[in-house]
Amino acid sequence: MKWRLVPGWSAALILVTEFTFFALLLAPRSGGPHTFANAANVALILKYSSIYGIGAIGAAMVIGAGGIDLAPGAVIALASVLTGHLFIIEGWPLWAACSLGLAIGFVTGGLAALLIVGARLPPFIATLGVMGIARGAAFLITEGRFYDLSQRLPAGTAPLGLPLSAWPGAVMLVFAAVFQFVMVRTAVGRHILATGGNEVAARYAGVHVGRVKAFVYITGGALAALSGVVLGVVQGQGKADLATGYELDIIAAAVVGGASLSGGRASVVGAVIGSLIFGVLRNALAQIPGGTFADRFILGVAVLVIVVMDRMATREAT
Amino acid sequence: MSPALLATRRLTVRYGATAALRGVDLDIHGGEVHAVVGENGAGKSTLLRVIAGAVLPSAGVVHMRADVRVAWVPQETILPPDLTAAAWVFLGRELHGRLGVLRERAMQDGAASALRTIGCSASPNARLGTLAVTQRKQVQLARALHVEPDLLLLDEPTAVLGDSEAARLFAQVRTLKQRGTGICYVSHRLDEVLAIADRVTVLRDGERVSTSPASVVDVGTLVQQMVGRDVQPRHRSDRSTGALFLQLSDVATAHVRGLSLGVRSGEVVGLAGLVGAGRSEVLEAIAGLRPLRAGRIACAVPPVFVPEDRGSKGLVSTLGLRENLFLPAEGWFLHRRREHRDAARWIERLSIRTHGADAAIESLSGGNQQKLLLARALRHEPRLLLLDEPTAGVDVAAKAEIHDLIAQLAAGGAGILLASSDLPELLALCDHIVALREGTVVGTLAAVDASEQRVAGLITGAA
Repeated sequence: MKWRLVPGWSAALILVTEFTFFALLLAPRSGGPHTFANAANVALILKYSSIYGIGAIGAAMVIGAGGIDLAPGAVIALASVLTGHLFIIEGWPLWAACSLGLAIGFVTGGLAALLIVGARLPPFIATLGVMGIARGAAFLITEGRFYDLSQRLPAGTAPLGLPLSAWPGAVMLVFAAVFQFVMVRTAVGRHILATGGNEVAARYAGVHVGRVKAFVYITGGALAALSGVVLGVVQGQGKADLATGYELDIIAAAVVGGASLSGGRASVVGAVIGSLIFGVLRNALAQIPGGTFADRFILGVAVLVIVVMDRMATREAT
Repeated sequence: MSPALLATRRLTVRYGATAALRGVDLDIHGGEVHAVVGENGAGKSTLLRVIAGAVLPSAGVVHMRADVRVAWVPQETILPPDLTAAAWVFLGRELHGRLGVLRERAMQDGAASALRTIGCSASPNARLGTLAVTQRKQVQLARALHVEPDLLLLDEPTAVLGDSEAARLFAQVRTLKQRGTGICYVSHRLDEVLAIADRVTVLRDGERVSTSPASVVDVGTLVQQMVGRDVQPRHRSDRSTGALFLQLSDVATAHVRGLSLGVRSGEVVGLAGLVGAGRSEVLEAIAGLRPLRAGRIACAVPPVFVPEDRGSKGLVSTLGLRENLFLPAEGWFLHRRREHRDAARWIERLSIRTHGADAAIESLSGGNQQKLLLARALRHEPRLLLLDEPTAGVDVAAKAEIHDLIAQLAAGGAGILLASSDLPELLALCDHIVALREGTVVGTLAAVDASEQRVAGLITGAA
C-alpha cells in the first residue's frame, strides 16, 4: 500500500478530525455553552497558533531547501524585546520600533546565511550559534527587565482598522498565502525544492544554490522576527527568555504539514495547518483537568508518530 | 560436469521501474568456467551481486547449498586506502590468538604467499592507497583465491590487468577448475572469454538470450546475440570540423595535471581513463563547477554539461519529469501550460518512454532518465556539449538512440567532449581519443589509429 502525506491535504484532514474529536469530547454535559467549539475559542486558537505558524512558514522553506533552522525561538525573543525596549525605554514611535524589530530578523537570517553559504558550516551548527547570539543579545538588551507593550498601548488600538488581537492570525494567513504562491508558482520555489531534493544535481543543472539557501534563511529569520514583534505588541510579552524551545514546535509544525527532513518536499499551507493542529491540541488539553501536564508529552508523541509515518512513506516511494 | 553449485530460476531484480534482470535461469557447476557476456547495462554485474548476496532478488529464486564458499571480485577497485594489502586479504577472517590479538606476522606471510601466487609485486604491508590500480585488482584476486572458494565470481577482472598479469590469472583459474571450483566469469573481452570458458551465457537487457558451449560459438555470434541485431561497423560520416570551440592549456585540477586538448565544431573528442583518472573533474572545471589549480580554459561558446551518475548528480528525484526538464526555471514565474507543451515535444523528440510529463523520476528506466537529462541539456541548444558517461546503465536500444543523437549533434556543428569508460562507445563516436592515466595524458589517438586494445593499454599502463 503506497500512501504519503500529500503536502497540505492530509494535514487538513488531521486538523478537522482532531477538532471534531475534541468538540465531541469536551461537549458540555448539560445543555450549556460549548467551551471549546465556539467562535471566541477558535479565534484564540488562531491567535496562539500564529506565533508558531508564522515561524513555521519559514521553517517549511528552510527544510524544503534541505536545511534546518534552530534560531527561531531566540529570534522571536530578540525581536519582541528589541521592539519593547525601543518603544518603552527609548520612546520610539510604535511603527519605528516594530520596523527595527523586524529588521533584526533579516540580520540574524543574514548571519545564518553567511555561516552556511559562506563558511560552509552545517546548518545545525550555524543556526545553533545564531540562536545563542540572538538569545544572548536579548538578555543584554533587557538586563533582566520585562517589557509589557500592551500596557502602553491605548485600549482599543486597531492598526489599519483591525483589532490588535486579530493581527497574529491575519499576519499568518497573509504571509502563508504569499509564500505558498512563491513555493508553488515561482521559479524560486522550484529552485528551493530542487536544492533540497538534490543539491549537487541542482547546482550542476545551473541553479544558484547559494542564493537559494541565503534566501530561505534570511526569510526564515525575518518571519521569526515578525512573529516576535507581533507577540510583543499583541500579547505584551517582552522578555528575554521568551519562546524558549519554540523552534522545535515550529519545525514539528512544518514536518506535520508535509516537510520532509531529508529535503525537497515541503508545504507552506501544510506548515500553517500543522501549527493549528498543535494549537488545537494545546487549547483542548488546557480544558481537560490535568491536561496541561500531558501537553508536552502528547505533543512529543504526536510529532514522533507523524515523522515516522513520513519516513515510511518516503522509503516506500523510493 | 559435477552437480550444480548454483542455480537461479526466473531471477528478477528491479530498481524502481528498471529491471536489471528479468527471469534469468542460470546454473554453474563445479569445475567449469561459465562466462557471462553482454553490453553495458545488460545485467552482468547485477547477476554477480545477487549470487554474492549483496542484492536481494525482486522475484525468482537462487538455489545454493549453504556450505558453498563464495568469493566475489567486483568490478570496482576502490578499496579503503589506509588498509594494508595483508589486511585486505584477511579481512573478516583475521588470524588471531586467544584474546583476539591479531597475529600480524602470520597474516603478512600468508598474504605474501597469496600475492606471489597471483603474480603481484606489492608488499603485503603496502597501503592500498599507494598501489596502482593493477596491483589493487591483484590484491582483490589474492583475497578471493586465499578463501579457497567453491564458487568464484569474477567481474571484469582483466579490465585493469596487462597481458602477463591476465595470463597469471588464467593459470590460477585453470588450477581452481581442476580442483572442482566453479567460476563465473563476466567480461566483455570476447576473445578472452572464448579462450577460458567452457560455457558462455549471453545477457541482453536483463534477459538470458542463450547459453552455449564455448566451442560452438564465435565472437561474431556472441556480438550479434548481445546487441540483438546485425551490427554494422559504425562509420563516422566525414564530418567537416570548423572553429575551435574549446581549448584547454596545461590544465590542472585536484587529480589532473598538464592537460591540453581542443574541441572543434563538428568534432567528438573522447576522454578515456579509469575511475579516478580525473575525467569528471576536467568536465566540471570546464563547466565552471570546480576551480582550476593551473592552466587556462578557453570556451568560444558556452559549454553545457551533462554529469555522470544521473541518480545522484543529474536528476532531482523529489521533482517530476517536467520539473527536472525545466531546471533551472527561466524567469520569475512558472508557466505550467507552456512547460507541459514543451515537455511533450521533448518526450517525442528523444523517444522518452513515460506515462506523462509529470511522471516520477523513479518510474523511468535508466535509459529514459538519461534521455531526460540530455533533453535538459539540449534545451539550451548547445554548441559545446560536455558528456560524462552518457550511456552508463542504459539499455541497448536507448544506447543506440543516444549514440545516434550524439552523432547528429556533431554533424550539426556542435563540439562534443565525451568522457566514457565504455571503450567501444569511444571508438564508435570519437574523432580523437585522449587517454588519461592517474591524472596525466598518456596518449592521444586519432580514430583511425585507435583500437580497444591500444586505448586499454594506455589507460591502465599495462603492457
